[in-house]
Amino acid sequence: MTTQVLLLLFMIAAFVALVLFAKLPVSLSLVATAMALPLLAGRGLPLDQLVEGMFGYLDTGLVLVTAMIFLKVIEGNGLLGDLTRGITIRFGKSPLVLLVALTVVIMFPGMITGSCTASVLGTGTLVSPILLAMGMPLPVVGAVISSAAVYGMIAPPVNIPVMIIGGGIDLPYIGFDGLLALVTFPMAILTTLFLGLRHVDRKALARVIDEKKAEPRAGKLSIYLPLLTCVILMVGPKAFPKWFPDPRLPLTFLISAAVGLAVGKRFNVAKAARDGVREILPVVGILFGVGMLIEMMTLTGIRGTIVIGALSIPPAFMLLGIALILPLFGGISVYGGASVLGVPFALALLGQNQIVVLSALSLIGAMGSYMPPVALTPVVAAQLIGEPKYGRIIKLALAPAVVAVLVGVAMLVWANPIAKFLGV
Amino acid sequence: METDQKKLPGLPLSAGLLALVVLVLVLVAPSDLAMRKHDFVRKGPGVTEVRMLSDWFPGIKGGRGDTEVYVLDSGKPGGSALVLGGTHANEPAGFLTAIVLVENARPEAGKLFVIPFANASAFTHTDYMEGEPRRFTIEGASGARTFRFGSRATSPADQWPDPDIYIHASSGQKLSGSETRNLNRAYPGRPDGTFTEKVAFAITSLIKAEKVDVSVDLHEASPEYPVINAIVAHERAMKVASIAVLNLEFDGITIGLEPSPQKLRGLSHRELGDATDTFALLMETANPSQGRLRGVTDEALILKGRDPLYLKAKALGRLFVPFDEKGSPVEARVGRHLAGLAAIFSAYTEEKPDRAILFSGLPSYDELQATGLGKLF
Ligand SMILES: [Zn+2]
Repeated sequence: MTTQVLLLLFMIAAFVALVLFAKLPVSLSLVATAMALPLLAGRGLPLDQLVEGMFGYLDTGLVLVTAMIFLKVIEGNGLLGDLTRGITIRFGKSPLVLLVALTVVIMFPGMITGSCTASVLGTGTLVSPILLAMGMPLPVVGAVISSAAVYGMIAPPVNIPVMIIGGGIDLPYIGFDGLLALVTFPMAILTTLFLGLRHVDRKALARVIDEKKAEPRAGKLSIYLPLLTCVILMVGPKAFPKWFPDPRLPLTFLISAAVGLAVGKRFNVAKAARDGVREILPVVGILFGVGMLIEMMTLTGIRGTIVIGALSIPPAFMLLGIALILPLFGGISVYGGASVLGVPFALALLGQNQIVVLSALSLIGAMGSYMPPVALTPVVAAQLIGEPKYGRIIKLALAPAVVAVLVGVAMLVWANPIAKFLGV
Repeated sequence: METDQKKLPGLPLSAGLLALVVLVLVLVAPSDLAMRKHDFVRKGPGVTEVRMLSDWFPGIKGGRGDTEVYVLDSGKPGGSALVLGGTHANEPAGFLTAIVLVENARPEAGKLFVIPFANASAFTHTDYMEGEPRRFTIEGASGARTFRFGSRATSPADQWPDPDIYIHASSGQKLSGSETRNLNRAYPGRPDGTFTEKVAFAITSLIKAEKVDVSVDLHEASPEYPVINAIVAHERAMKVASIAVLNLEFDGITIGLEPSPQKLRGLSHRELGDATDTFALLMETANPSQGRLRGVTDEALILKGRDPLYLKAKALGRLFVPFDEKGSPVEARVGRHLAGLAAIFSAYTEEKPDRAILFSGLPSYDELQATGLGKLF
């Protein structure tokens, strides 16, 4: 057993002990484990690298914080309530149509930004009250939102794991849209129906529709301006890259929030912003801790040991290895997994059609969004809807996620025939 | 496992944590700022002039993208060549070779331009979550010489934030957002573009203004990357490159030759060849310290290139280069680059005798392996 394997075992044991027995927050447990690794490896306390690791998810953290502020603003000014009312009344007659429409609505921000968090926090917020009103229990609502958000992340036009792996093997991001759409939309919709349809209580829905109809409308159409601003700022740079400046996500959310302050109901802005930041801060803390831990795993050679271990799997079990290890690494970071493991796996599969292979790897890797310790998507979803135990969401999402991994493996097995059939 | 999201730290705890973060930042700030100072480069016997890249594009003057251009003019008629080191600051053989040229080369015909830190901003930080050391030291003949080990990309302090996707300006090609800060995806560059595109534009402008005949971009790649120990050549440079490859083979240095892919845009060997009259080439050597399969990441890995995990990878058939217990030491990598440059310039001189580019004063590959890199510093 090499030093690195021992360190890896220590790392897992220490983290679990800190979280379960010492009852430390996940973020602090990650930080403590990260600091212990180099000390044990005889590398002292590399401050530069520890701080650097903390910044690894700075951008993601900023997106989370600003998105949360935006949400609190549109909740406060009445936009959210009014939109929920509108969608429920319009599509409420057919729960099936309503669920399909809502799935695509949740996916949208993820499709545009490549981030499932944008989906959860963006349209997941809009949709969750409707799902609840239809009679779905809280964890089911969380699972539906998480699942659609994860598919939104890998749906076209922006799939960041594919771009990351493509960058590592010099494959430009061209020709993926059709295949990705063909895979993600049916699977996202089927997953929503599988999770949610049986919980739909038509009577409750009808009652909610009547209640909503009786409610007075929040105000003028102008309350939708912040949402419109947000969509324009997200879609514009992709649709017209030549002349539409890209404000990036954090600024998009802040500008949209500012617009939201100008229209609709008056509310306590400072309190709303404070609430938003407070709710999302634990998640940001986890991301900082994860960055430090990955940096120390790399420094001490644990990361490489995991990758070589994965590549040591005999060819016959290679696909099984990909199916297990890629989602497992997603428990730390889906993007990280794409870079660290996705690239070597793509190189190991060089003989196959690369567009199908990369799409499949991104599908399999995306299922890591549900994996602890980070489990970013269900954690954020739980936070959003107020579900105290995000583990319940993971349990529900597990079966459809396993199916998705199997679909991904099938794509890897038949990559060349699929490519020929579809002409990609 | 459940989160403890509801348990929120009270005000004293929050303040304490904040103070701790500030303290740590204050502690690391000096080493962070010190990364901004360019490594010392001695003016060798061949250096006739030290200029700045902004001389060819004032748009980067005084900024952190501006960088030294060493001119080695033989004073004799001939052609001109540009050598780029440090396009990627985490590929040390690239910039070390450029520094060796500046400090030791004696031009015999034509004119040589050398930019050791092509993306100067990339030297001011290291890549997140890669656990890399910030500096490495070579015991030189004139004492210990320390060099920065930087990042593949421009520092976020100079260009931030990244878009979700990077759209290459002249072709519309889409790449992942972080490639926005990759100098070798930014060519030919734009005068009104991003920080990185401006640096690329300055280099393109230099090539045009100085009528540079041959441009060689020095890189390294991870040993598991398919294009390695190789020359990548623009189609107009293919003939010269193939002569160079044959001559290198003759000297016992195995090197691959790859045509610059038409559809991969923004790279130096594609865009500099398309946008100017120069012969655009790029060279790669094997650098385990930037690889994804590497084990313990430290200074020794950068310099010696020995890694038990890469040995396993070789046994598994995952590598595209020979790799054994001796590893991929920096001497061998710099030696390959120096031999490659000499072979390319002499092939060009054979092709166009009136545009000769010749220089002396550099060790052969075998001499460098025998004496070590320190002898040159
Ligand atoms: Zn490079």
